[in-house]
Amino acid sequence: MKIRATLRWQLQLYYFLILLVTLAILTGLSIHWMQRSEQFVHDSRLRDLQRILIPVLTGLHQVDPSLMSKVPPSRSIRRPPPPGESPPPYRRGGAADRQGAPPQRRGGLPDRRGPPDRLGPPDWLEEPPERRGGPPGGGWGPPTRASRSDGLRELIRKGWYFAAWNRFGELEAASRNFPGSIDPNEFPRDLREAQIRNHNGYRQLISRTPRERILIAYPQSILDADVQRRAWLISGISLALLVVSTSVGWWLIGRVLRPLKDIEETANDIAKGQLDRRIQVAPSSSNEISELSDNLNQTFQQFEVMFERQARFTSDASHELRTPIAVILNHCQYGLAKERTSDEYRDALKACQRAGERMKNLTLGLLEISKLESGEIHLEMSDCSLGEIAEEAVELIEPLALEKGIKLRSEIQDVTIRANGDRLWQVLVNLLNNAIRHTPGGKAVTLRTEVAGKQVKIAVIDQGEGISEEAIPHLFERFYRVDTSRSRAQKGSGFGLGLAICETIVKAHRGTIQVKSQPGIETRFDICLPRLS
Amino acid sequence: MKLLIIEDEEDLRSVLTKDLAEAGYTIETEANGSDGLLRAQHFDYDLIILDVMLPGMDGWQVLERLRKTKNTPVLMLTARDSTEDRVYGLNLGSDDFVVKPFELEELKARIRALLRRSQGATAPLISINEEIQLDTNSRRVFKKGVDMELPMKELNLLEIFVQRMGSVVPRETIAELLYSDFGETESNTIDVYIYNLRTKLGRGIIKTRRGIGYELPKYP
Repeated sequence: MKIRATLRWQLQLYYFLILLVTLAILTGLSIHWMQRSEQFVHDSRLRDLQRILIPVLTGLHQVDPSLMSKVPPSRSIRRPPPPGESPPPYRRGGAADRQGAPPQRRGGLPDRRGPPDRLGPPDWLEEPPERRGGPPGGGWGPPTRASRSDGLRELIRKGWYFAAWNRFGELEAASRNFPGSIDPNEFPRDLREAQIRNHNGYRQLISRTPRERILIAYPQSILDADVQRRAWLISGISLALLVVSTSVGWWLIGRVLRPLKDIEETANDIAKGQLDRRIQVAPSSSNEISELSDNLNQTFQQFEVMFERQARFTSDASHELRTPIAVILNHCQYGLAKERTSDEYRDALKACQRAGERMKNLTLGLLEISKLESGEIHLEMSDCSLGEIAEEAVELIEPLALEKGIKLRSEIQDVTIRANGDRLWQVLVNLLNNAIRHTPGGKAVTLRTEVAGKQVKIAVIDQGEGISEEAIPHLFERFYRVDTSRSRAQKGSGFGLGLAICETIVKAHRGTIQVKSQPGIETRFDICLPRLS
Repeated sequence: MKLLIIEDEEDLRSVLTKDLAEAGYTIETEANGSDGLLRAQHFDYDLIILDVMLPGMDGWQVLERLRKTKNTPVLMLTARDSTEDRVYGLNLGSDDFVVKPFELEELKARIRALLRRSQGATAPLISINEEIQLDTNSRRVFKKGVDMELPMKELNLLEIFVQRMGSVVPRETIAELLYSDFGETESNTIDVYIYNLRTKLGRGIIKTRRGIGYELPKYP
């Protein structure tokens, strides 16, 4: 529980903070750029309006006089200019024409070469309420005095104002909402292009024509309102993104960390003794956590195996020791029950001794297997002569074979192998002993060794009573006894440990041992060892 | 009481035989399962002590097969102290379980308990007549409250009669039960024992059934 709480919350917190900072920065930048872009749009509307307003302010186009606080003297295209005056400025292209730059850019007069009926109010201006339902495609219809007036009315309603002064600084025309406190002499003298400036909460466009100075302005509040609205929108989106991302992040982190919780729970269970529990690893995942899980699972497997081995050892030992202990105790109980003769005491003591020997052999045998299995005893390997080892084994067994009238044959091919000579000898002696014990007199027991490429094959063959089919799979198990007779000839033997020890030794040599048996006909044990281990 | 001990561990077998014989039982033994089974099937025993780990045929199989034909009480010896084993054995038909290593005294007490039960005796004290009682626990005979101190064979003989109270016991049966195969067998000796017992108990208690055998009538 604890791990999950801190790690997950930590990750979540970091993630959230990073997300927050990133989104905050992005939001800030967005709003800033949005503001500038809005500014740009509004400013370009300013410029846009010049083409409508300049003719109005110069008297060229007539509008509803109620819209103007000062109505410019009317001028008409067709009226000839007063004598002595230069031709109407609109005729000349002005500086813009001479230089060939698009007139819009440089302020001054818009390009008048377009057809006059395009001089209606711009598209971006909202339709006045009473005009809705007009001709489709928007627009105000053909630019007439009425429609122009409507347009201007709309502008003024929104707070736009405009004015014009002649070159002497006299106010010639002004919208009715024109604040009088503007002094044209404040305007920069050298006004080649239109300029935009802030003034008293208004954004003003100041431009010059040869005859006039034109001022068009809109209230900043319009811009501000727009900007604010959009700023809220952007912020809202950012917030929503933050929330959604955080939630998704929470879920994702949970998913990634779930294996950790799994690991913790499994480890807990294992600590409580359920050694067979394993961490579940999704087959598709291949990250560090799943690797860790795999490694831990392997470790747990090792634990389980070792624990089982330990438990088995204890259980096997205690089980096998019960009978010799019973012998000793019972003999003592009997002996002490009343006065006995010396002979009786002696018999009892001898029985106790025999039992003691058995327990000793058993314990040593078990310990040996245990150590071999766990690798505690590292068999020291050296170059040995297989022939010598085989011969020594045969030598030891010979008297026993002779006694039983069994023919002991050896077909030995000498070869140098890397092995532990003593242990290998132990194995051979054990196998030969078994063979002789289970073979009736008159039959033969054979020990054969041969080289087969990089391996060495050793076989112990007898013609004795053999091993039943059902016993064969269990033969090398500890304490498995085919016949439960208990001869105490050798360390571990008679308890069913002999073959188990043999197998352990063979495995320590990286070899294999197998058995085949046809009861009554032939039984053979085959050992296969690498020559150079 | 004749007991059969089927146990392959020689030293254990020997000490059990000695001790139980000393306690007054007639003992016969076998060292492997199949021989033990044959013997148990063909002869009558009052109790069989059966080890679980046996060569030839393990204790379970001996028990299973024995139970097909005989009801002899069986006390099993085992080196494994697991519930499963005990349940299995009891279900198969054994009457009791003793785990090695055990105390000889405990073994003898269990044997007595089993024998008591198998003879249908509810009380440890059995009255032969108004004066004479047999204490099955201590295996003593009391006449008017005084221990008669019968020798082992006579005691065994009396026990045989008590076990078959109210039925006629043929001479052959007496011979079989009193003597093990490994001991001496003499028909005459039986007569001596019977005579001695009758003398000690009093005339008329053990009845002769001519041509058949002897009988100890039920009391009361």
